[in-house]
Amino acid sequence: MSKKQTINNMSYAEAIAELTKISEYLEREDIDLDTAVQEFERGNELISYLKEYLKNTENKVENIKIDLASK
Amino acid sequence: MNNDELFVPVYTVTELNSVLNQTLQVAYPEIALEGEVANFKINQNKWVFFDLKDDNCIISCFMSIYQLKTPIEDGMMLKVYCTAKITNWGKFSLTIRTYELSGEGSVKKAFELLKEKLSKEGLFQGDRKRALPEFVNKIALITSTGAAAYNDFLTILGKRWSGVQIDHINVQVQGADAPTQIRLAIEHFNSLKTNYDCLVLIRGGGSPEDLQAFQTEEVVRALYSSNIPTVVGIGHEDDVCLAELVADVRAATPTDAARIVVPDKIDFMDYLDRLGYGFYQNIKGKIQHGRSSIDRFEHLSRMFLIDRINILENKSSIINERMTKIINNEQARLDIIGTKLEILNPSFLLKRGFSIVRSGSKIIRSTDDLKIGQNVVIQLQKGKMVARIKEFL
Repeated sequence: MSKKQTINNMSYAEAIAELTKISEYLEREDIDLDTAVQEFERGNELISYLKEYLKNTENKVENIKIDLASK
Repeated sequence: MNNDELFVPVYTVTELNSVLNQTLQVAYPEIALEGEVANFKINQNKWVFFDLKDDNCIISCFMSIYQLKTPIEDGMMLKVYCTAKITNWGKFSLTIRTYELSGEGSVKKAFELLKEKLSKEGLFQGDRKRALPEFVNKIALITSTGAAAYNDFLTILGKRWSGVQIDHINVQVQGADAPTQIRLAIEHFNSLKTNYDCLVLIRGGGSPEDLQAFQTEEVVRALYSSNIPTVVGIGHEDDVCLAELVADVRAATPTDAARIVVPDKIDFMDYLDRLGYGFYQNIKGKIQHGRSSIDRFEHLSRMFLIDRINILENKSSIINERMTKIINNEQARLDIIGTKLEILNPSFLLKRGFSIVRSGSKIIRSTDDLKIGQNVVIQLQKGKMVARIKEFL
């Protein structure tokens, strides 16, 4: 599995998608231990990133003004 | 002519019509009127005519078909906002700007009619409903800033999840202008290039009149046409509004809408912990498996060697046994030979009392080898002697 974008640039949807792939990959019997360990480490990094993101990132509200006169 | 009469200008018919209409416009720029609908009809699919009446009087009303937002039927109570005029044909008529159903009976009736019509068109079918994405990044929110629903939704959203972008358009959620404002907001969000994951339309509970905007064809069609998946949450316990029926997802309340669009970060962090633990167990298992493969190999190798050693040991003990047997046999043979030899040993004879007679070195076995007067040596067990042959017996 080739390495992807830097974790810090990821949206959490992207991070979660990669985490799911890693989870499926590690379930396989036919992978070599070296690759498995690499993916395991990547998975842990993603998990830490997601937890930090959830703890610290605020939601952002923006009010949009439009012309609401009857059309 | 009576000189006591006041001067009254003499108008033409057109002039009078114009003066009266101007007077009406100035005196009554906007009229609100409530009455019962009668004689409802639509002409040429363009013009809507009906009367509003009460127990004593009746007034004609007129509007264009584009203003017919909710179905109207004779017998319904209507509240209209209008201007008054006298038509060129001398008819006193109200031109309707906007209207609302009033009274529970009217509202229910309109609801049933519209629901049937839209249902026949397939707007409420389940198989057209779209699923929301599991994780949303951008939400289009339509509600009134003054409503509790707005604050409730944002508060719960903030507690549950992080990093969401919420774009909000403030609209009226009740009253005559509400349906159009809601429609314009939905259309605006759909016109933007932003990739909204869902469009949320919410308000708190209220009377059927308060919720009327969510029963209008205008709002229902706008939701139906939305390319962005829609969530409608109205905080009421009663029958479902048409807007809720057409939405992709119906939320019971604005708070429930927040729970639907985002997961709970606490639950999700639990899930991440379990996932991480699962990864760890998985890797540990793989390493164990690797180790045990090596162990197994080592064990098998050892068993193989032990086996070989056992075989060799067996063979060597067999060899030992056989050698021992052979040696014992030989020993036995040697013993027999030894015994025989012992018997044949002259000393053995001498012990038994026999003697050996020699003449010189020759052992005499027969008297033929002797002469009278010859000297012989006689060896006994103990000692020797010389003897002379005296006679043969």
